Amino acid sequence: MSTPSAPPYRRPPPRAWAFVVPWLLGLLVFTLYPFAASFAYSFTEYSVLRPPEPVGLANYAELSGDPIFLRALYNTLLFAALSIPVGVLIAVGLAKALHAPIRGTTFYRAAIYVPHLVPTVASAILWMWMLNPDNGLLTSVMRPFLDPLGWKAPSFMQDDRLVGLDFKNRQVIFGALPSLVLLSVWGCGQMAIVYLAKLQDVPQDLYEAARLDGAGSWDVFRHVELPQLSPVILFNVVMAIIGTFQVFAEPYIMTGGQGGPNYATYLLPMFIYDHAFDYHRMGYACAASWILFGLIALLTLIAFRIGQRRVYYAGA
Amino acid sequence: MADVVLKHVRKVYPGGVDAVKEASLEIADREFVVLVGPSGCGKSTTLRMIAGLEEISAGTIAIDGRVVNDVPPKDRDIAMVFQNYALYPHMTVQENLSFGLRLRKLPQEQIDARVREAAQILGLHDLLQRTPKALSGGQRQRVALGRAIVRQPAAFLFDEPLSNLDAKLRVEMRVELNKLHQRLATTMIYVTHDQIEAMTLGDRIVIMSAGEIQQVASPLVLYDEPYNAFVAGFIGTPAMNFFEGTLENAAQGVVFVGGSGLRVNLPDEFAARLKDHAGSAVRLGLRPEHIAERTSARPWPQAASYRARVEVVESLGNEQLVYLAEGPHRFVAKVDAHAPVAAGQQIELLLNAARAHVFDAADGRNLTCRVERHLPAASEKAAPA
Repeated sequence: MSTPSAPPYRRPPPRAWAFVVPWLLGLLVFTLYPFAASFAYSFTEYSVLRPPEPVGLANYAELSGDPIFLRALYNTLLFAALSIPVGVLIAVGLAKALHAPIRGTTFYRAAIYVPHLVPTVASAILWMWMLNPDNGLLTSVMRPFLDPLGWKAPSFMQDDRLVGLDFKNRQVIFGALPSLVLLSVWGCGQMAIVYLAKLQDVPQDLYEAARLDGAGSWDVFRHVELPQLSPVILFNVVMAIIGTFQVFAEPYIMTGGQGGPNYATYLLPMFIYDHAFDYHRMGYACAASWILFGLIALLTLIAFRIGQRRVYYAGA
Repeated sequence: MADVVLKHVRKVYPGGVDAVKEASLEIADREFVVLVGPSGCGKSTTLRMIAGLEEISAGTIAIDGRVVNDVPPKDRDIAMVFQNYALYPHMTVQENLSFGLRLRKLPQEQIDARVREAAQILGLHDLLQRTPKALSGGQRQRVALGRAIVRQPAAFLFDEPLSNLDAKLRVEMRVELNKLHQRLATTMIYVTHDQIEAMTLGDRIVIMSAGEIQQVASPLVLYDEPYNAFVAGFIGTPAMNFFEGTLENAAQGVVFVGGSGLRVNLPDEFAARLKDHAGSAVRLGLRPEHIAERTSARPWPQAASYRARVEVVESLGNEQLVYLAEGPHRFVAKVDAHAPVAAGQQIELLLNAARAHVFDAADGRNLTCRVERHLPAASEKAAPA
């Protein structure tokens, strides 16, 4: 048996460097250097105005007792724990709905994808209006139902609580952090389109075999469609872990840079931004960044570990 | 075990495509019936209507005496084997085999027993913990068969199950399917475009073309007594030769006159049926094995002589295929392996007139066919051995 051999290696001509160097420089200066530098700065007290002074693990020690940092960490974890599963569930649900043979699927597909195309700042401002407790769209929609009962609509971004019913004040609770989750789920159309593409890829005869085997629609979803979707779900979950831990613009804009009310929407990236650029504690911010990085890496690893057991990959 | 009866079944797809124009068929209990025909003839659609995967536009389908038009596939008591196997890719062989039984909430020990039995019949015990992607094509097809067997259905449906296998494996699986039918003694309905599969597997063969059943008969009857020119041309390799010409009433009986000196006296048996067609355009059908080189021919009691030029000779070892031409006629003869023929030669031929068929040139009907278009199941053939 002969295997086709790769063409022999030829050293590229010197002018090849001219094409590669600009990109390499960019990588070095804007990615690798800051990456390494931030790690080094995380062990220093560095105000940007004066040279950094080594402080060992002091930044990390201080972070572990900093109530604002711990609140930001808790908020970030809670935000991820809510928005990722809800986003996946809704995206899969939308994909299932769009997979059904209904009229106007092209329109619906476009409609659910549009939010993904709206710039972050624009969507944040749009949602500030939608969630306005006085005259926002959601309030206006809820009032006709709540007013007759004597209940008040949620205050959304002005409430630091989560979700529930306030019987004392007769108000529906839907707080600032859940509102952020709502905004992030609003953009799940892109995920839904990917799930839809995968669903349309499921061989027709698998559906037919399942029907003959006596599978109802839930069985078909559970035993035919979900296994085929699982690698895409894993991919989306990993991307979502990376993405949600870095959410910054939306809460920053919607709370005027405060992360309020009462730190309810204060996420780790905002904490890092404030300490680096407002309080001039670059070393402290770098330490927080590395904790954020470690958290993302750890959760991604866990997702992959679970994925290895639960995800079915097609092909040989 | 069940009989399957189709009455005036029709399938029109949205957009007006008439996939099955009219299909009436009675499949006996324990019979192995093969639906065969070229692509687009409606054979798969017919099978899928029996399975319940396609709605029936008109007519009725009854399984075991019960009309199933509105019965969902899972309640029809049938199992189907697909061309692409349709195994659940994330399940092991064992899970694939037991899936349908688990959905039906059978007791676990019964599921295990049935899976064990199917695995034993099909030689799958060593593969039970593998997933389909770790199996070869032949093994996958066996699992697909096993999935049908564990269901213990009233009827098995096969949709071109061997098409994705290589030639050697196809022959092996054909033999296995035959054995399986004998062992399970269950009604089997099998769709294929491969006439060899049809001939070797079927108790009866249903030949379809353009959405209509052309003929229903056992393999041999189909071969010897094709109802029309389509069936005659579809069954047999190389295909039957057709000679254009007319019929004449002569002193010695009815004679086929084909031009370029081709004259064939037809058997007296057909005289009564053919004499009214004198003068009308017909096609004479003759299978390649009924044309022989004169010196090496077997003695045929009623043979016509002819001369033709050899264009190509294909030697197959046990026989030779000789491609001949004379005037407007192009035809093939299957002759003795050692008959002295060579390309470019003019050779003397004998045509076996007793086995000739005469087809109406207009509608293709076989004027010499001795059987009905639809033959019922021969009960002694359908019974298990």
